[in-house]
Amino acid sequence: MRQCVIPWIFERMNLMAIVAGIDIGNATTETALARVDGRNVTFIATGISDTTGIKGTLQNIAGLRASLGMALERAGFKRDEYGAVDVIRLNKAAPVIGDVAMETVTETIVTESTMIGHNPSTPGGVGVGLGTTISFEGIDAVRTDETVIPVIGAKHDYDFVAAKIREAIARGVKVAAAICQSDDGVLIVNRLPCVIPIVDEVSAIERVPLGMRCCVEVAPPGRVVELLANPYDIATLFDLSPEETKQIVPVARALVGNRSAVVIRTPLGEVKERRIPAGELYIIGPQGKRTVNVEDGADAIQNTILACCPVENIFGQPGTNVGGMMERVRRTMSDLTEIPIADVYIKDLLAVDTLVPQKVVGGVAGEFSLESGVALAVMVKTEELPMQKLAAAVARDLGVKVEVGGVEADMAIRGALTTPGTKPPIAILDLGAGSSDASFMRTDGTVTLTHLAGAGNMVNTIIASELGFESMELAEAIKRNPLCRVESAFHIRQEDGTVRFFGEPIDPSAYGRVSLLHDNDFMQPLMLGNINVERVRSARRKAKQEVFVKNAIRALEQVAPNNNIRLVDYVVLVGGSAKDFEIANMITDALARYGIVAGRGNIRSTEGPRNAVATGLVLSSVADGQ
Amino acid sequence: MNSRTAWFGRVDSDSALPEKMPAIWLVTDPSYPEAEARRVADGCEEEGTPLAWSVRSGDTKELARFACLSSQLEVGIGIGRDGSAAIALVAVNNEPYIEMDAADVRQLRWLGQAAARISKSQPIPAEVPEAADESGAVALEPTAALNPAQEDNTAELARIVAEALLNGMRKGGGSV
Repeated sequence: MRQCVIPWIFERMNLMAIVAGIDIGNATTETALARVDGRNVTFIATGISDTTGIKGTLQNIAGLRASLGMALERAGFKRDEYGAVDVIRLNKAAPVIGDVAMETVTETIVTESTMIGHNPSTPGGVGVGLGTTISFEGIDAVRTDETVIPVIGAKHDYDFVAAKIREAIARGVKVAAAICQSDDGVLIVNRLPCVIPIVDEVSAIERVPLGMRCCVEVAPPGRVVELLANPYDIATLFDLSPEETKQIVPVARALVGNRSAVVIRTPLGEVKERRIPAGELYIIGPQGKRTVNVEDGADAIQNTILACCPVENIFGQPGTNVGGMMERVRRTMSDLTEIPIADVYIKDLLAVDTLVPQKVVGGVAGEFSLESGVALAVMVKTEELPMQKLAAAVARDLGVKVEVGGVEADMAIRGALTTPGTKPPIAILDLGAGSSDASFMRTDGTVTLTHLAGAGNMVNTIIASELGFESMELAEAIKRNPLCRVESAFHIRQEDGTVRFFGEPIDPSAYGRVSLLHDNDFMQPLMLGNINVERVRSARRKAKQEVFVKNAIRALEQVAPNNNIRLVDYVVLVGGSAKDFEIANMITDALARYGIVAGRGNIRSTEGPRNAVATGLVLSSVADGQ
Repeated sequence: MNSRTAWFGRVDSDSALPEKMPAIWLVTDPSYPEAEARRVADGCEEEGTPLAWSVRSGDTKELARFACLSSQLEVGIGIGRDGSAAIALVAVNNEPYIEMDAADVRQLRWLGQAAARISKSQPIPAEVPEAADESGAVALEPTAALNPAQEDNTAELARIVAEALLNGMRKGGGSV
């Protein structure tokens, strides 16, 4: 079984057949092309392409053509010479669909005060200033015994502003601090006779209330605000009662870690926001229904799922976010399979605790506060995906005989067993994009299998929400590539601390930034504000640990003999996510504690962890007496 | 101006920065107006990096190269007669590191800020601002109008011109 690199130059003999095993997965469509001569199988090429549409639908044909075309071209045929193939074998795709969503459990709403707590790269001056906010235009009218904090819009030039403040100070007005819209803090303070704290780059300056008591704090470089991050100091500054101090806690909490901050005391109830509750989950198992609140966090949810094992169905509380999510998944599956929505069952759910940067309600400069949230992935299972329908459509489209092969997990095992150094009993973990599947083959050839919610897509969701952006393409790129920081025009420091030099200057857009280092040394700078390598790295690794390592153990517990994970000796990791540069190592490490040999598969000694199902489909054609 | 504001100075003049003060160098065509050079200095000052200004003839790339070789921070800005600008680093041999137009006030400030950030090994600001629109043009006026030192500007200009002439004469004399 080796891949032939020489184009096929012999006429096909009658006994020989070209068989294409095609595995349509959630994310990719993989092809294994082989020449089958009696019981001899010679693999001649592989192909891979993105899956088009949801798997099991007629939209998959475009991706299938691309994948098969690639394999044909590599085997020396024309890209569209589909007629060269005698039989296409499709996988009987596991009828599972995953969906992921984020629920924020906590929220910071500032009602009794307004605050500005952000990290402009260069705030002006240093220290603490307490006074009354005034409009900058009104600075000339201020009485000499007043202590004021002017609020300065972007339309004023810094020289003009500094001149006006100098004049006011000369008249005897105490200017305690300033709040400024443009990035002029340092420029203004450099032109004043005394140092005052100035918070700049406050985008929504018009929302800063005027005539209110206000405190501005700017910490020295390399330090963070101390006074305004301490509730008792805020109480001291604003003469707060114990009850009022309790209400100011979210403000102090949101300001922790900033270099500059502003707190303004405003009359009660200026900011109001309705909050949608995260909701409850109802998990139905053999012993009946159990209820868990999403706000209780991932551990509570996971324990309830475990107590209900095997889960029969999961519902969300109607009218809540989680209720909406559950219904959306049911509807997608129902639309796809034409099964009534009531007959679609959610069979598994994976919850992961996350920290989500959320916009503070009542903030003025686009402040974010790290709130706790829960990422949820669910897996829906129906009776069967309409694969026969797809097979017929492919046969019509390509003019080739199409068969639907065996169960996906069986095929994955057959393919995985082509990895050198493996033999049954063996467990396979198929780590994909939509679901994590596990199967266990005993010595007698019997197979148990399970599908679990949570895989590559959930990792993307967690990375995106922890780092506070929405693009799933960016999350995918962060998941796949190691990080570096560009330290000069010629050198980078990689996330493990090693330094690399380049012969050509690095693009200025990446200069000084945390960047992703792609395979071909292409650097993709991350435009995520003041973010450091460690933060991105820990978010990425945590997401992978929480999803894949947790799922690997969960899955093996379900398929292992007597549900005892220690009775498994060999685990082979296959699927797109097993190709990742660190997931396989994380799982190897975690399973080593149970005395399990686990590692990334190497299908047919050449393909790495990819192509297991497609390979299995071809091999099974021989066993089936094709 | 107090001592804390010694962020910007013309090389070889009364307003020169203290000797040995590490600074980014800005080298421009001799005809370049001080008001605009000051806008580049604003960007540097906000980042806490001094800017030394010198004049010289040459194209933008040559000016930028000369500037970075003169700068202790090894970062230099050149602005040519045509208003094109470049940031050069000593480390980057052949070509300027960044090339752009510097016609607009915000672009000039961006230029200073970017050079300062490079000297600090920090990311340069994301976007080069779009070229001149009205808001940019308006922003210059209040500075000129309200600058308390405005009366001295003419005198200052005369002094600069005189100095340049004298320099020229001295150089001329030397070569004969």
